[in-house]
Amino acid sequence: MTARKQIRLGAHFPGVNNTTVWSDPAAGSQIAFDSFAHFARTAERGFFDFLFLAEGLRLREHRGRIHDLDVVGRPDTFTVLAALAGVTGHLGLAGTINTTFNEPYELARQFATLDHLSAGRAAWNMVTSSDAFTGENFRRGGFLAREDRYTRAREGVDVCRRCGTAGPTTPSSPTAAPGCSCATAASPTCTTRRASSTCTAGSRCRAARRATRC
Amino acid sequence: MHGRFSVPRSPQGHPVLIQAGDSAEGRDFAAATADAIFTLHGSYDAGRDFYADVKGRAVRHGRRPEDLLVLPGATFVLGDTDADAADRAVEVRRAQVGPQTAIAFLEQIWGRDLSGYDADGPLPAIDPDVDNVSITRGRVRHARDPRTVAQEWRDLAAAKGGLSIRETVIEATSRTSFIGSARTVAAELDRYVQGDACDGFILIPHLTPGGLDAFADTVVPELQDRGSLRTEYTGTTLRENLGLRPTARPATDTTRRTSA
Repeated sequence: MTARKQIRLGAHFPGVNNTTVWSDPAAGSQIAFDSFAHFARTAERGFFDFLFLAEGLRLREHRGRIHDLDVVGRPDTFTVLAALAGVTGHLGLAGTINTTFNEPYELARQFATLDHLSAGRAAWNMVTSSDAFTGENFRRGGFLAREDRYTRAREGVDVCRRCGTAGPTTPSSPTAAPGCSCATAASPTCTTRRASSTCTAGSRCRAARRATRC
Repeated sequence: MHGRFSVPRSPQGHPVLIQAGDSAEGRDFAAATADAIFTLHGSYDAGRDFYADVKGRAVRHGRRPEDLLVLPGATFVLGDTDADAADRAVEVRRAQVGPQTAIAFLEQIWGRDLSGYDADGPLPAIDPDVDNVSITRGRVRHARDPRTVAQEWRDLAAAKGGLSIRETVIEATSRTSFIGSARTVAAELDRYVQGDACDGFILIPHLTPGGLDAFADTVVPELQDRGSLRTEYTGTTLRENLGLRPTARPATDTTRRTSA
């Protein structure tokens, strides 16, 4: 007998956009930890695969004013997910994180850390927005041409994969700690330099000019 | 990057990768790279087309169809009966799209200040200002010509017997929604999955923080009774629970060395 196809379920935390109803007497905070914890525990009680956080890097503006139909404010994804790792045991923790404005190496560290804290429950929803309006508050601004979004995204994923899988496979072993010479064979060091990682604000990134050296 | 990575290998190696974006380039990126794709393709038939498209792309990238999960976003409204749920769904949509929101939606398409219009009146007779693309900043732009969208909205309003601005926005911006009793909703979600319109859903409740409570209490047991949802977590990682293969070191990883 063939096993029945299993339904995969993610739970999108409501709190932004006009899909969330605020006039309902049962509507609560979109930022208090109790709200996140309640939602996560409910998803886990329902055997969901993961909780899903959207991202808001800059409040939208409409006709030159803050879009007052949006909820004002959305907390940082990594921090919320890390806190939720402590109150759940099985639920996946999926964060929407922009591939354009964040630095690949920093993201690799953040996701590796979240994966450790949650014992293997981290997920990354990759979004590739590159509009200059959002980029203004990031160190390199609106630096990326729209057509280069996926080149940059591929690079972020690649760095995350290389870093994430390059380390010792037995992280709990003290002998495999980073910097310990006995781990060298299993965890090669590498040097990667890519065009879009090193370009400066205002310049146009070219695709994947790379030099990899080990 | 220089030097050794400063965090030891984590349980999953790297996070489960989800990709959101429906452009051809986004689909290809997902097919080559992602473990799951978050899509807005809603209807059963559109879902089946999208599913076949991206699974085919995954195979062309040397992967198995089951290596890429298709997870559309979906809303739901539950009730004691299907009729009760349908009534509640109408109330929810009216709460989601109040008069102000309706006008704001309209302005995003028309590219004009339409604050003088009555949300309970007809759509504007004037055409969209196609040069004013920055009326709303910080949201994903519609890639389509606003004049085309405007005409579709006018046609929709006329076809439904002369909808108001607010009613038109409610109709035109509706996402896939599963509306009914718990049994009805479970059966419909399962039909999509078993029929290869998707592998599951990212559910978007309309209330925070309790919007998932009734689903967990009533729909989940129905799905379990149908044999379509686990009754306990069997994996130790998210990747295992999703039925995905373990993380391998990247095949293209030129940094790889043979371990001693």
